[in-house]
Amino acid sequence: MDYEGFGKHAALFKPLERPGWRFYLVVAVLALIVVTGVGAYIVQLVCGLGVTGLNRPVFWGFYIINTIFFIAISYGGTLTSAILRLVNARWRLPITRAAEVITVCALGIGAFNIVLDMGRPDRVLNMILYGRLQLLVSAADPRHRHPAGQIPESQAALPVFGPGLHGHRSPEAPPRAGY
Amino acid sequence: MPRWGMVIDLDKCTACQACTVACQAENNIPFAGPDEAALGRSKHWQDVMAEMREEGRYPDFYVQFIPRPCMHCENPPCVTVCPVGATYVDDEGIVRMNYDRCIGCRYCTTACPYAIRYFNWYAPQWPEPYENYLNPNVPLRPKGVVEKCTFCIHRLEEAKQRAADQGQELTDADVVLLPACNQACPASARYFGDLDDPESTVSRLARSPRAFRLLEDLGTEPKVYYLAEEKS
Repeated sequence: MDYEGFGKHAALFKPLERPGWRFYLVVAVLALIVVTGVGAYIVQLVCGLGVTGLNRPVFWGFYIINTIFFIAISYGGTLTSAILRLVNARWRLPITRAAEVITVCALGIGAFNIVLDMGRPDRVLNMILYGRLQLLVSAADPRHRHPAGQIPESQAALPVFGPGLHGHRSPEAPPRAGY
Repeated sequence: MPRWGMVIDLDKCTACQACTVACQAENNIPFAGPDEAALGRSKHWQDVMAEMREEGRYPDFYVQFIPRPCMHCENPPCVTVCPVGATYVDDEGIVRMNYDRCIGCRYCTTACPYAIRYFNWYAPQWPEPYENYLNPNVPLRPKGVVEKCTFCIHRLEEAKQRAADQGQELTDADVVLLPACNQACPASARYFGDLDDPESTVSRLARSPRAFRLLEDLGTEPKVYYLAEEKS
C-alpha cells in the first residue's frame, strides 16, 4: 500500500501493514499465556473449583481480587478522561483515547472474573432470571435499622420494585427446592 | 404455623460428636479425606467447636465445647446477600437452599457469621461400600453449589405426613428428638420444637436464665438457643 497520501503521518501507519518480527514474538508469548489460562479454566470446569486452592473460610480469592482490581482500573480510566475533558485540555486527545479504551476493556475483564469465580457458570443466566437488587434493597431495608424489631408487612418491600422482591420469605421459591 | 428452633444444653453435652456423625450419615455428606480436610474443606453441617480458655494449666484446663448446627436466623445474612434467591426462609422459619438455582458464587458462605454453609469444591464421592448406605430421602448435591443444615426437614415432612395419616396434630413429643443429631445424642442434650408454642420444650428452655445465643449482638436472631454451663 502507498503511504504517500498520508503525508507526514505515513510513519504511523506503516507498522499496521508490515509488522516486524518483534510484533509476532509478542503475539506468540501472549497467545501462550492465553492458551495456558484457557487450559487452566477447562481443568477447573471439569474438576471443580477445588483446584483453585480456595478453602474454608477463604471462600473468595484471586478471582474476586482481580474483579476489584480491574473495575478500579476502569474507574481510573473514566476519571482521567473526565478530568481532562472538564479542564478542556487541548493536548488531551491521545490520553483520553487510551484511558477510555482501558475503561471499556478493564470493565469487561473485571465482570468476566466473576463468571470465572462461579461454581456453576452454566447457571449464569439465573443472575438475570432470578436476580435480586440486594445492594439497593439492603440500604433501604428497614430490618437493617431495627435488627431486633419485627418488620410490618407494609414496610417489608420497596413499592418501587413491587412486593416481595427482597423479602426473605419468597413464596415463589419452588417447593421441590431440595431440602 | 410453627417456628422451628433448637435448644442445646451445654451442661449435658459431653462433646462426643455423635451428632456430627449422625448428621454426616443422615444427610449424605461426603467425606473430604485427609488432604482436603487439611485444607479446611471437610463438611460438617453439625460441628462441635472447641473453645480453649486461657485460664489454668494442663490438669485444670477448661475447654468449652459448643455443638453448632445452622442457626436458622430470623434475619439471615446469607439470604440477604444471595444474588439469585437460591437460599430463602420458608414459612416455618427454616433457612433452606435451592440447589438447582445456586450459581456457586459463595456470597452466602462469606456472609454467614457462623460459617455454617459449605461449598462443594469437587463432585461428592464415597468409597466403594458406602455408596450403598446413602439416604434416599436427602438429595445429593452436585459440585459447585452451597449446602447447609436443614433441621432434617425430610424427617419433619415425614412426621407431619405420619401425623396427618393418623388424623392427629403434630405434638411436641413427636418432634423433640426429630433431627438426626437430636436422636443420636446420648446425653439427650438437644431439643427441637416449635418456638411459637409457649408450652413446647424448646420455648420453655429458651426462656431459662441460662439461655443464650451465638453472636447475639449481630442482630441475626438465631433460632438455636444454648443453655450455659453451670460453673462448678
